[in-house]
Amino acid sequence: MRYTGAEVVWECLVREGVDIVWAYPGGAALPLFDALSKYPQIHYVLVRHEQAAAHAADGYARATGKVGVCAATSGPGATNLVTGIATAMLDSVPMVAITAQVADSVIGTDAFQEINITGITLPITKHNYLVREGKDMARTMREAFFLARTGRPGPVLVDLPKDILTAQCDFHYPERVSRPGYRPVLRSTPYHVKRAAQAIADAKRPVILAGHGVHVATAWEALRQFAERINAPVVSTLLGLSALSADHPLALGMAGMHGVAWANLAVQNADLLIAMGMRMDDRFTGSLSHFAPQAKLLHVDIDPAEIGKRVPTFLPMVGDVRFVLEALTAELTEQDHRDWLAQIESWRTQHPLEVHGQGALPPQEVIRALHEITDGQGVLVSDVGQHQMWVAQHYRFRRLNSFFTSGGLGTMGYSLPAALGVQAGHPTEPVWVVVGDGSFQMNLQELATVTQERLPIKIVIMDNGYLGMVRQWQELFHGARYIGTPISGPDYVQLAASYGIPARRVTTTAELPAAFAAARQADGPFLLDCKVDGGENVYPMVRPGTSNADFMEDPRGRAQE
Amino acid sequence: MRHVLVALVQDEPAMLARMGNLFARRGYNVESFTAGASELPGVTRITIVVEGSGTALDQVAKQFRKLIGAVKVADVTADKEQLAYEMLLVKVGVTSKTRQEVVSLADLFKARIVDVSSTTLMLESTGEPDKLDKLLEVLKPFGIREQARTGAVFMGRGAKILNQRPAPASDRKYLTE
Repeated sequence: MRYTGAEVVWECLVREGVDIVWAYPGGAALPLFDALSKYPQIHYVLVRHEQAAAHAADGYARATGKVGVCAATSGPGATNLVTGIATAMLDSVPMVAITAQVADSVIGTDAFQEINITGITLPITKHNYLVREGKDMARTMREAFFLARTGRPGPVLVDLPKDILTAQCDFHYPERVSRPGYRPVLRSTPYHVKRAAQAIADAKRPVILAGHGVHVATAWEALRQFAERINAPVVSTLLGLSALSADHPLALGMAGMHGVAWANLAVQNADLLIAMGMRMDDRFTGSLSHFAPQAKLLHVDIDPAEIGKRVPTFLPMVGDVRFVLEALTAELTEQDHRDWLAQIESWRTQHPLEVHGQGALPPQEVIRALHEITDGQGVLVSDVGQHQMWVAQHYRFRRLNSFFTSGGLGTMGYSLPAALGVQAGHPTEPVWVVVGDGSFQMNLQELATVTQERLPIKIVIMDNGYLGMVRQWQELFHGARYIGTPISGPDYVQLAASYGIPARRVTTTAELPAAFAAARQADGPFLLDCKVDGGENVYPMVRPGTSNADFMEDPRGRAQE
Repeated sequence: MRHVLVALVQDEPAMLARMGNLFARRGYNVESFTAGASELPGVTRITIVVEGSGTALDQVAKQFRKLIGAVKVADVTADKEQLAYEMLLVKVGVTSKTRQEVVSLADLFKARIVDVSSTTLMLESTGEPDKLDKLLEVLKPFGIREQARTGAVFMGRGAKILNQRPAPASDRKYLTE
């Protein structure tokens, strides 16, 4: 049977099990959208800006482990995807981005809405394609999905000229594809496993570092068993939060620039770091010359390029985090590190995470109230900035893979559009969005999509009238000159109302429980505008370029001691 | 330190841009870059000579290996058992007085004279890059009007070959496990 190129695209998506696509139409993409009428099994979500389509596909992929799909037209449609694609690239999120292109015959002539999107996205995709013949379409789509989800996942872009979309072609979906030279290594060698096991058995102060790779490899249970077997504490990166329940006695929470004190002290005093699917990001390590000075590093990652990239490695182990964890657990007998764990507990007691806010509504209290109402079991999407760090510190994630945020790229405006996708992955419960007023205003147009899709997304705006994280740096490092950081905004309650979304304003801590209860009880979406204290800083904080052991604590806390 | 990377890459659009991006992003100056057909159909052999520190280049090689379409990437810098050849075309200014001297130098270096005009001689020489450097050095006083070098290609001695053909990626295995 003959198909048009556009039909081939949807046939391929159906075969890949795709049932939802976030997209925005346009001139060159017309044939693609026209053919969609024949595929009712694919739910098409019209977003209000292409960036949101990419973030939604990203959120869906993180929440489900499946490949998220977004689509846009040529030119500005394609360029609007760029931030979303880069966000997915930095956080290793499987995504296929489909862009329409001007007709093949006019490519390279600066035709209307022509842009070289494969050139633009070259450094921010795992791979990309410009399809120039209908016969290549099916194989390309197959490869795109294969590459996006295997190995270290990432975004793959497929650019489809309009005339290829309309031309008739044969359709044969290849059963398998292969790329010479592309062979992700999944299992470590027995030699490496033995050596690693020996190093772990010899360690006196081991710390497990859980990164995003634990989620990607669905290694939550393997991580718990491994940690229990070797009786070692688990420190998370930002994206590694919710890899182990925060209730678990071995879970320490997040380390790094705004990590909790006891987690940073554990890393800095460790004699062995067992890094699982994390890439030693600078926000995690702090100054490299001061990083974990006594520790040997055992680094497990599916991407060999991450090993030894920033921190010299004692033992590299290339492989899938789950397989490696299982192999190590099988190799090791029970260990006992009670003295080490007691030492960490004493650090926890000496440097607890407290709320010192003097204002009517300290922002940390908002996160704590969210924790209460969801019992730590909520599905959370956070944006980027101070509120993101407060979520990481004060929300105790008791549910696995329940926290989604832009880590590597730090993309402001991520949360609301990403929640569209996370919600699609969790259709039966509300998704909570925690977002600053600055970040919210970057993509608030997606309120219309929330309403259109009748999604029960609960939006918690941490509204402090500042670009808070930048303001904090200005206060601490730039003489408290607040240039360009005070930010105004609309009346968010009225704004929500104009989209048909019920909303409430919260100005004191006392109002929080009732406000959150109202949000949760509402059938559909809800918005809380939390007027939090604009002068709050995130503590602890490690000054850039210094050791993670030398964190600054809240000066008000110190004053009381 | 000067490093030599030899790679086999699939012959497809944008491969050159992908490779160039790796070096450009990290601010490396590529000394030479050669590309040509390999013994495998549809696979191009690339030789890159680049200046850089060992650890930084190790990262480039790793990122290079990650490119989809890179079949094999090897840093052969430390490999003693290999041959390196490069071709040079050079146009030297001559007068009736100096012409014979340039011809003898060409002989000495086993360079061929491939073109003659009243004021220039064009020499062709193929050999190890060092030898070409020396040839250029002795020609310099005569006035080098134009020069073109291909960049070196490298190949290991003996029976072993760069490509030990890899097994195709196994999508299915990953997905079912």
